[in-house]
Amino acid sequence: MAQIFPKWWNKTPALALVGTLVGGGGGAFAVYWWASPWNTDVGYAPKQPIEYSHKLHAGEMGMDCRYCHAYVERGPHAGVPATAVCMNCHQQVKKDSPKLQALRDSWDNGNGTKPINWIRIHKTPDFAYFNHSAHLGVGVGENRAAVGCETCHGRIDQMEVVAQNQPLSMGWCLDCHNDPAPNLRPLDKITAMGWKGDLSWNEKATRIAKTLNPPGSLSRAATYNDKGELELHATAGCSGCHR
Amino acid sequence: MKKDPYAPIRSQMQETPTHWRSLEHLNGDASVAETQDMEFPNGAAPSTGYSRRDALKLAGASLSLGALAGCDKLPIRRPVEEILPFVRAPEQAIPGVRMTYATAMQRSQGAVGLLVKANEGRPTKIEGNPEHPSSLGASDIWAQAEVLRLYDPERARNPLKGGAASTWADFDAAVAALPADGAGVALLAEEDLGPTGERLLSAFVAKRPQARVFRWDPTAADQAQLGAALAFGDGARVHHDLEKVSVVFSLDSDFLVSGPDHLKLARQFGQSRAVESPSDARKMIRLYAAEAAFSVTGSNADHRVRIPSSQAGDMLRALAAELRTQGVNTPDVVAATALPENAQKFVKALAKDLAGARGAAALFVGERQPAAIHALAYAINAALGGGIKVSTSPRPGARSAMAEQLRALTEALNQGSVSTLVLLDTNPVYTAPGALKFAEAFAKAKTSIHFGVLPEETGLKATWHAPLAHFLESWGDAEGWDGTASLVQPLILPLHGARPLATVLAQLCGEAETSDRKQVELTWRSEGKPLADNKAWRKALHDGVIAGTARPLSEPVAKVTEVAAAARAVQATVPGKDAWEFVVVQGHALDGRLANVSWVMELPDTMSKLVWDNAVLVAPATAAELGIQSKVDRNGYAADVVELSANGTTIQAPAFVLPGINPTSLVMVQGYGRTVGAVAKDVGVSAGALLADGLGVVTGVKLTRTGKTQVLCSTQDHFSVPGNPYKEVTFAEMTKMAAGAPERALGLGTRPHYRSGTTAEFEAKPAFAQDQDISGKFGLVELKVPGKSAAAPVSLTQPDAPIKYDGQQWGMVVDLSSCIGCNICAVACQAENNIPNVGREQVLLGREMHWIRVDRYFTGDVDTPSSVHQPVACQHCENAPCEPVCPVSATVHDEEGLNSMAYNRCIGTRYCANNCPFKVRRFNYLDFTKTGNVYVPEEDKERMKTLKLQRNPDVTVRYRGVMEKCTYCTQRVEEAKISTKRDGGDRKALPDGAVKPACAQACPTQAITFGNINDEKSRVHALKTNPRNYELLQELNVRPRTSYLARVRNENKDLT
Repeated sequence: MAQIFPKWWNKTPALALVGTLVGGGGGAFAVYWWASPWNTDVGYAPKQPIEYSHKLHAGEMGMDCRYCHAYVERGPHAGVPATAVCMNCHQQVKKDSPKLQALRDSWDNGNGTKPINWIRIHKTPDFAYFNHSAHLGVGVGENRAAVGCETCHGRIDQMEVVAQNQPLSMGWCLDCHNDPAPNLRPLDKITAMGWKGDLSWNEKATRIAKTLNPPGSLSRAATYNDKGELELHATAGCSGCHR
Repeated sequence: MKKDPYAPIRSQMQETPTHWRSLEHLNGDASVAETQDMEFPNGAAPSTGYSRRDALKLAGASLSLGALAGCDKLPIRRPVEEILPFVRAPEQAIPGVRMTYATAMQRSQGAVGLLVKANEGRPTKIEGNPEHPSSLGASDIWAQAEVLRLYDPERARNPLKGGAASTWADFDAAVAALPADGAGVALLAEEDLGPTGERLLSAFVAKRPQARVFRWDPTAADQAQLGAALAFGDGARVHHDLEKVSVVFSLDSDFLVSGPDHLKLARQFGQSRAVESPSDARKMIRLYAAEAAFSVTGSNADHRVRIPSSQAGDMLRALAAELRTQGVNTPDVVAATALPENAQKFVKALAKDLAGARGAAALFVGERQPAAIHALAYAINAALGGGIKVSTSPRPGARSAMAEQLRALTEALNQGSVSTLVLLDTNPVYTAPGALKFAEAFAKAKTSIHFGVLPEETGLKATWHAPLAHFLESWGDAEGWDGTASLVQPLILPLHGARPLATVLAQLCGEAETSDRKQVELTWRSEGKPLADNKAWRKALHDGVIAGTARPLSEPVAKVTEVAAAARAVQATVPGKDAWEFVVVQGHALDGRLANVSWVMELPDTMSKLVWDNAVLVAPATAAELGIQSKVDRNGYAADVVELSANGTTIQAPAFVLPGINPTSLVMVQGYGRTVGAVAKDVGVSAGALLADGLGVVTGVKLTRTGKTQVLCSTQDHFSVPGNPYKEVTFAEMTKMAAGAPERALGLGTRPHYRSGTTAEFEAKPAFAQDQDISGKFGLVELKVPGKSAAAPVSLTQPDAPIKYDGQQWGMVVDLSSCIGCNICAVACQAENNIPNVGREQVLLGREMHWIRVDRYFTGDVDTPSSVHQPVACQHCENAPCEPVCPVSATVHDEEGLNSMAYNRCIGTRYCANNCPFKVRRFNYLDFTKTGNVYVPEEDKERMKTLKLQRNPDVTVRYRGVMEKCTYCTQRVEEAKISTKRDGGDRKALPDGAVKPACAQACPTQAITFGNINDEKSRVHALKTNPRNYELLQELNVRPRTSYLARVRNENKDLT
């Protein structure tokens, strides 16, 4: 009588084990990836009530980000422009464009009270406090620098429809808080798009970063001082963002 | 004769005077020991209604259902959110940045200037205005509570007719139908409506000449002003000032927490008590108190004697007589009754002290005492000098007592001579003394129109209730006790279309101009008025005070003979068995107006620590004599219900035994037992029902036991920390101890958490508070191990390596010498940090959430104890025991020494609370903030809609299953750092005083100091090096960042 199970069946336990590990690991990774903000949030580009093009305004026309996002240096929220800000130009320019009907409805010849319902794209969770202005001027005196818009929001000047560019996850925040140097730029380059530091700036940025020790910078949690004593900075500052 | 259950305590007390939290604590009751062993009060842990099995079932079901529900939303993405920008952005408002506006709150006892913070147009936090003379930057519970009252979901959405919804149009028609000449019209208001309000009120009376105006407000300084009129002439107003005062006598008064200028007086008192060196100790105010109840002021007294309220006047007469023998020209009066022996001794010593402090004495008399007694005190004070000044009130002329006015109104209503009654934000149906039977008279009015922020009892019984705008929603003006005027500016449009007071009054006057702002401008801004200049108007709005409006003060010259005649006529009664004296005192809820504010109801009473309840407070001796008990029942008390009857009225209320109450007095806190209000309704018993007049004292009260018991909710022994081991113990000794009880066995109270000494002790040894602190390397507790030499100690605690911090390091110092125990810190903390209220049932389970608990200790013997207060919040230990036990590192130190809590990391194991020796961690057993859908009854969801407008967006709202505790207001620290950084400054070197936590900000006496302990120039550093500085549980080597300054008592040698 022929063997019911061919000889290669002997390998099945090993194969099953490998399969389980690979499959399970792969599956776990797949779920992890699928649920991570890299998948769920990056690229989020909802349809907005007005087909506003950042590419046109910020890119081709070169308007400064802060013309519309006026609070970015003064408060936690960058702010979305009031209808009046849009109308500064659009009372003259494209004033009959059908695409701007929602804008004119909101303005209602200056008597309007209904806001435009923009869809929010970038959002940190309620338990994580974020402040734009805290990132637009760090360090003291000579060591003053900033994080640019581009670092977190991407090349807005090339986006017809704005999409989320970075995951805004805690790990992503900490990557920069641990090593801010690569993302620092001079104050006058905050809104510049596609800016890259030269060698001398990069050196300076590294120097500046050492003075910062921003909240959440785990790398400086425990250091030894000159006398060889342990200086504990514990997990430097959860409370900067979680309060 | 019944056996005295407190006999064992009494005998024990003579040997071991120490600090005790309750009679049970003193008695060594097992319940206290049990509570002390646990991190949360007994019974807090098991959740109500849900077993672990149920929870697992629910969790399983919700997981699978959740997975199904999620299917239609793939890929997973949070719900779509919208951003709604303005059409025209208001100038200066930056989203996410708190804005502060100056305004003021008018009270009958004078306005308090406030700074109100608003987030995106929502007022969220009220603080005192440092520029305002009655606030000096501090605030009280009343001021803090107003922001939650603003969002009370029970505010009417439209006018109510007979309690049912109606429309403004119908209401306006009803107002238009008021008799044009004012015949039969009466108007009931509180004492002071502010300059504009009073102007319009006069216009109302001028327009309708037959209309009558009555005033009624139980929080007013009514008798005090009547007394001032007696002593100094009509329209006189007395101003106390403790700046240069050294001896203060408080007679049946609670001047530190209520009454005119109490925030200023508390500041002056606290500053005088905050001694830095022995030389300061000689300049300290010495406070004497005589009272029937145990007031906050009484608990701060260096010498306190118990005297019935109805006999208190006699004590003052005896004092006047005694002072006269010492050569002080006081009115010629003598005591009509024999004072108790200890009171006589007290009076003698006090008189000697007062006579020796000429030009530096102050006397305070409480509102329970008649005007003549106030006048007598003023005359004595004027004779002694110092302490008081006199001004002329804005409405000179004869004044009649408010209770008399209310009585006259009641009679007029009964007779029908008043048929139309207009009420301006007053609730006499509840607040009127029971004997007046005001509610019955009120029902006889043909038309009654009630304007009120909340409908309350009166609004629902009235023909009409019209929603009145809150002062945070209105333009207006207010006048301080000293005449300092402030503009009241709105921070938000009136919710639900309510109308501001000025609008309402203008409408009643039939004026065409009904805009509240325009009316205020008419008062201040029109031609020739102080603020006619635009710049002056803007400055007044900005500063919160109108410069130069304070009235001139003059030295007091009393009409001694008139005062003597009046004071002689005051009856004194000696209460006793079966003719008890019933004394009504004002607690946190005042006259009941704050009873619908959950913050106030959940705040433990300062002395009794009762929460969500009031009771008849009786002295231990009286309780023993009457056979009344309040026995520990779980985390509350099973109290005997007693019936009190006087003048044909009876009330039933539970009795609570409180040491320090006068033995012949039955004391009750006012403002409870309201019948309207989701929060206020059926909480406690209305004390006012038994009252005959406005004075708050009833004599000849009979007390009978009903045989029933009722559970009283009290936090008295909650979060009680056991006494601390300080002796060196051998292992052999340790093993002999009962399991779980070594701490208690080791010297309870020998090293009290609360430390205090007399001025003599302080002068002899400034660092007396550090006596018995563990010396040696870093204060480690050392155990003697058999077989090992003492040189090789085994450390009980953690690393003995030095920890070196650099940069700014936050720390706090609480000066127990200036802390008066007013509890404002707890409420300010709650307002700032989104701390939820849990309700009566949950407090009974020991689940209250306050981050700051104000521990009240008694010291001395059971009958005549003194009492002290100690605010305890997270101590932010260097060697924090909570940190290593957290399995998920949710609680960790940051680089500036804050023991921070990452709520989103917390998984709710509660190990941290278990390991916290100070018991300052609080756990969200349920979704107390009502953020989710679980456990939230439908009616609460509706409530939360408006209440959540109060929340501070800079602080996470915590959900069920999360641990929380004091964060040193980390959001304020961060805000200071960010704004410094934004302006190019160094966020790692903030100037001293840049950060003020909510508690320190609100504190009237500035007892709480916060700052950088690493900065040698900072105030907090200076205080940390003060010899009075000590740490709680120092022997544990947890190295708290919060330390305390021991209290110094300024005792009179003649009385000790």
